[in-house]
Amino acid sequence: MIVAEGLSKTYGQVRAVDGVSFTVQPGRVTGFLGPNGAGKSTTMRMVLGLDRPSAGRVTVNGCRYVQHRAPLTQVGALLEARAIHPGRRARAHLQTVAATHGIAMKRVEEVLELTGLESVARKRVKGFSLGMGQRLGIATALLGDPHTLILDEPVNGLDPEGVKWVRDLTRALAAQGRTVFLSSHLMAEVAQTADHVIVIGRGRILADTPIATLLAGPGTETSRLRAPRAAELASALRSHNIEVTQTDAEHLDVVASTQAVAEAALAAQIAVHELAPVKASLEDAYLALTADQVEFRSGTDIPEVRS
Amino acid sequence: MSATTSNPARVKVTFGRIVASEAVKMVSLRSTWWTLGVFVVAHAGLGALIGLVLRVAEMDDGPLEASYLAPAGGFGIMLTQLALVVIAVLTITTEYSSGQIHGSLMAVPTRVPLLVAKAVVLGAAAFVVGAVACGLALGLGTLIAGDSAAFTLSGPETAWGLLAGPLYLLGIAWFSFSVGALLRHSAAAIATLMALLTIVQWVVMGLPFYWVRVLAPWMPGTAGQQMFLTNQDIADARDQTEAGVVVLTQWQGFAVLLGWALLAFVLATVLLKRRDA
Repeated sequence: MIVAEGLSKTYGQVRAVDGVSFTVQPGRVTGFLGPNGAGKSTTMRMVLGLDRPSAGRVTVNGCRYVQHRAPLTQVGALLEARAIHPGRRARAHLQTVAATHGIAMKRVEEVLELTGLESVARKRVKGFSLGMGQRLGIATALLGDPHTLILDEPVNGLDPEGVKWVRDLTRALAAQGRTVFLSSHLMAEVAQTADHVIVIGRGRILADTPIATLLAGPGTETSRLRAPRAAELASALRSHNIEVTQTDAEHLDVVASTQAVAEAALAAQIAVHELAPVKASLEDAYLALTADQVEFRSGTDIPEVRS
Repeated sequence: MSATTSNPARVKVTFGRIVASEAVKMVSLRSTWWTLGVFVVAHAGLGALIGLVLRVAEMDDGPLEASYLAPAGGFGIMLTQLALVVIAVLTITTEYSSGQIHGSLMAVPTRVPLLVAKAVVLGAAAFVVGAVACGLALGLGTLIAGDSAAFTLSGPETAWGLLAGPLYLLGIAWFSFSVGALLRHSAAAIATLMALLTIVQWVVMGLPFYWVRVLAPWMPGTAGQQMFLTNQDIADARDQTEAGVVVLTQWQGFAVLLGWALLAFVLATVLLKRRDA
């Protein structure tokens, strides 16, 4: 279990993390979601005692990371990919980590097997692909058989098979009662893996909820319709205080349920040829939450390509 | 994931285990063997070369001192030490350049024992490899020089000659390592050490200013170099020195070098504790 209370980190003028409090519970996968630069990595580094909080505190399994006598049996972590000396062989790298805790060689072989790296155990890390480096990072995190796993962007650089492997592995670890905390800037990835999600933007917690709740989240029911007299229908809907966007001559996007749109069209005596609800995707919910929070926004819409 | 370590209760961090981990780190890198290999070959080669010069030139200054041949003539060790400077710096700076430092500090979150363990392993390597290199330089040099280098290996001067080199290299390795830990950047640390250990010594020390002569003996490189002088050399230097300029003995020189290393090391530990990794 990870408990953060009023955790802040300031770099000069920049508040990278701004008074966040959250609890990561055991027995489930908790996603840590936010745009790049939102403070995900900084928060994780503070959990691991690598960065010193400017304010607040964070504990893992009851005490600060630095107070654990055998930290790797408490927390296994994967931070940035391939933070491993490139000149060392994979097995030797694991040996150096295992040696600090007196972890048996047998366990090194186990994690090599578990991550599918036995065949490259004697290869130097500099020859590793991004995916292999990521697997070695996960092998390192699992070395101490920890109660808590912290994985920063674990699927980065993995092929589809690797992505599925990480997903299955993290779910299996959570099912064993472990705490799994994984960050991502990809909503879809978190949606498929996590049970619970903590959304962070510009250093603040925007949501801390089960995935299902986030999906049902900010009640934005929208519909899409096609009508030959779209412009007339749009003004009729607007007179009912319904938000409308005309996408082309015959199409409208309407912020209202299909039922409300149908009633309004009937009242205005305007024929509707097509009408369909637009499901709020998790991605939309996430974008809605973080809309004001992205640090680097793309300038404008992508210009249309003319043929 | 069902299989765990054989006895979880005994799995914890101890200083001895951190040292063991650092030893594995050192021997598992090919660059370690290359750098140490080049150092030994270069140092022994210079010793042999001096032996050859002695044989050809026929010295008439009496028997040659081991304290001269083991460090490959004083200037020899100043060149070959650069290999140890590099390896000492890289021991810590590559942890930062590769990001490995995060993993190392996650395993040893109290931080300072990590730095001490690295210094222990590095110091042992520098001393042992230094002893091998100095022994080879002395042996090969003596063999090649033949009659002109007549001394017995049992003499106290010879024993000191064989001890001074490894001790000096130990001090240089610790100092270099600490500077690397302070600066956390390979190029910056190596450039700084090159400047301190060679340029300062060869260029600045030659400047005809009184304050340069006063400060010079206290620099890490010059102080360490006192170790390769004979008692006679030091007595002669004391006769010629001006007021206010100190001539250190061999052990005092070593102490000053160690003092520099300790100063840099303490600064490095304070910063390691304070800085974000």
